[in-house]
Amino acid sequence: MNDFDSQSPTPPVVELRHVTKVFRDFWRRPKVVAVSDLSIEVRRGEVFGLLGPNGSGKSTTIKTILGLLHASAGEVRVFGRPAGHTGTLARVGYLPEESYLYRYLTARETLDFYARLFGLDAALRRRRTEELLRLVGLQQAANRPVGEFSKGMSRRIGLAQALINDPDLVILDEPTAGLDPVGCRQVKDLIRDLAAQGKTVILSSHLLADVEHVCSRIAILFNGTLRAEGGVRELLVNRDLVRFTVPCADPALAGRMAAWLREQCGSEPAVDNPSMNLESFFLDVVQRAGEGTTGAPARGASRP
Amino acid sequence: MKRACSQLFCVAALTVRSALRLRLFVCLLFLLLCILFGVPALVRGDGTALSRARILLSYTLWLSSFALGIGVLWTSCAAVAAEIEGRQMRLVAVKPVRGWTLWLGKWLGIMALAAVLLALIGVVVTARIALLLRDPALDEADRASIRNEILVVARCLEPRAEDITAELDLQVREIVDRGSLPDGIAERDIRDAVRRQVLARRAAVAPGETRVWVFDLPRGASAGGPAFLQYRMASSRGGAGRVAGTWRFGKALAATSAGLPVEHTGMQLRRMHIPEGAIGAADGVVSAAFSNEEAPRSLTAVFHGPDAIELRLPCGAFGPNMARALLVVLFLLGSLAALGLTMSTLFSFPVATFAAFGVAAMIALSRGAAADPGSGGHAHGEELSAASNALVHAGETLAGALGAAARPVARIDPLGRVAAGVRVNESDVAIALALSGLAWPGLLGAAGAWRLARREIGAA
Repeated sequence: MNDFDSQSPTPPVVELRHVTKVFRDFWRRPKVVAVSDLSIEVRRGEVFGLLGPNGSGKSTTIKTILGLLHASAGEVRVFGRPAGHTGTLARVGYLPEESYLYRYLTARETLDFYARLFGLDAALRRRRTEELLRLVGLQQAANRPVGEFSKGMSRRIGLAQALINDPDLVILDEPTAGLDPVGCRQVKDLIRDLAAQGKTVILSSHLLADVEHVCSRIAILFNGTLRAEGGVRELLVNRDLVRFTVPCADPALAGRMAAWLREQCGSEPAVDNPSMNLESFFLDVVQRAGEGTTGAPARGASRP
Repeated sequence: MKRACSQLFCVAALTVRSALRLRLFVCLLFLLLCILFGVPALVRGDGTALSRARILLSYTLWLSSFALGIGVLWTSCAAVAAEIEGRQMRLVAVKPVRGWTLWLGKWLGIMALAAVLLALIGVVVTARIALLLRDPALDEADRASIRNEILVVARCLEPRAEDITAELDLQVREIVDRGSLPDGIAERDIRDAVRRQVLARRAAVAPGETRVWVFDLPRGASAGGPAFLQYRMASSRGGAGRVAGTWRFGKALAATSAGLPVEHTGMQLRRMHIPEGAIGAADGVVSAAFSNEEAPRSLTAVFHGPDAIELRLPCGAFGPNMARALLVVLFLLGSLAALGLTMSTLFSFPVATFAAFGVAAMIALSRGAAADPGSGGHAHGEELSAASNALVHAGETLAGALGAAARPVARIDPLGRVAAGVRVNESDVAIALALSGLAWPGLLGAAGAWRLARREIGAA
């Protein structure tokens, strides 16, 4: 699992080869091994999830990919170049785990500042700034200092700055942290859109549902070592079970089908009504409330 | 290149914006205004208009520039280190920005702020002197004294160095030939002692003696007003003794010609206007002679020290001289900003601040020690261990190197010159620009940019 498949058709966007990161104390003595012998690769168009509990090395791995930390051993390459290379950073967007923006800049100034660092010309800067403010829903707060923003708004403007250069590789560290369910869904939709545009996304999170919904491949880290890696479906699918979902079956028909399955398989089949997840239910309620739908409260309302 | 310039401007603008919005600029402005208006109110001198003007040009100008220097050093220490600790630098470091662009952009931003505040200092000081001149309470004599003693710019000429080699050789040979010296004394030490003795002897004018100083006029120099001789004379009895003598200038050096009689007590700086005709001689030389006219065996006149005597030729106007002096100060601030920025790329904010102020203090002190070699250094440390000796030697070497690096600009002393009415030459400004404005910031910037490019920004 740790060695690369040299026969892969497209060159990897991000390549970590036997990377180890050791944090040292003032006297250069090893203090913590944050990442140990990690080898992963991320290919173009993938949404790659880095999973793991707190302190498992997710953020360290991301910082190493960005050149914010230097690997103690091993090799990190991004777009075929060493991590932190100026040429590759021009194609990368990064959302850190917390808002590290300048508190005294307004949202618009923030986006303009980062756009300037990418060398975008004035017209393009203006256009991208307005597009992204609209995308993250901050047009109304465009002229407010970022220091006055709530956590969710800070995440939104942080996400906007990560996309200001229309990057080919987007690295998102806990992108949904601090966002309300609507914001979470928007971010997940955005990630899917980015992937559909052929962009590569690396996503770090410990919210498993988020990762499951958007990632095509995942790696699970624990104590700095890689414990599992592969496609989400491939890792999660239980090939010993088969589920049928049939619309509008009356109870009598369901009973006959269950009896037939029992007879055919020799074991008791599980028969129930599928339920939507809480996120979908919440979004539906909020959407209907936003549209001014009147009627009974949603409690207990059945949904197809 | 276009992108680099855009990034440079962007980082510089952000630095200025942060100083404005975080109210650092306002705080510095308030502090400077307190000094600019508070010091003249607190320090009154002898109460005369001349004294008030002197206080504005000396204490006030110096203190406000010093406060600005502290502000610049502190701001530059915060510019990078605080951003790394506040983690804003993480988002900047993952953009395609090179280390030198970040460093230079920060430096330019700090310099822009310093330039504005320094210009404000210059404008306020100049305006206050101009207002003082218009004070209806002043009489014409007060105004004239401010115009002639404060708002003047003069070129200072030191007397031609006398060749004492022959006398030195002779005396050293006599001492060595006498053979009465203890063992282990090097001839170099004897020579130094004899040199000091000869110079001290030449600084003295005994009763009945006449001493002549020769000043070489620069090519094309002409007095733009009344030239004068500035000197500091004491008697052999110290400050209390009174010495009477006569000054003669130019072609009228002969003792028989009419001179300018003087009678001095104390060691204050004195000025003697030089008669017209003594300046601008065709041979480009001005001579000044002092005859001690005390009775034999009475008091000797002593002209001792680096500023014992100098010729001042008025040239230029006060405003441009002030501007040149402030430009030199700005370049010095450039070095301070570079020092702070580079320290902040190496260390955390508190450590960077401590280190930057330490290095700045070491440079200031080593410059003083270098000016007075007898006072500095350890007494060769016979009683110290070898390790301590090596440490002391390393410290002295470092301090000496820093002092030597700072000396070419430090000796310009722009604020001292403005206060003393001495011209700050264009060549001085050029030296300050080359060394303090470009070379030292360049070296420090290279080190800072190198470190910034290699530092683990994400570890903070």
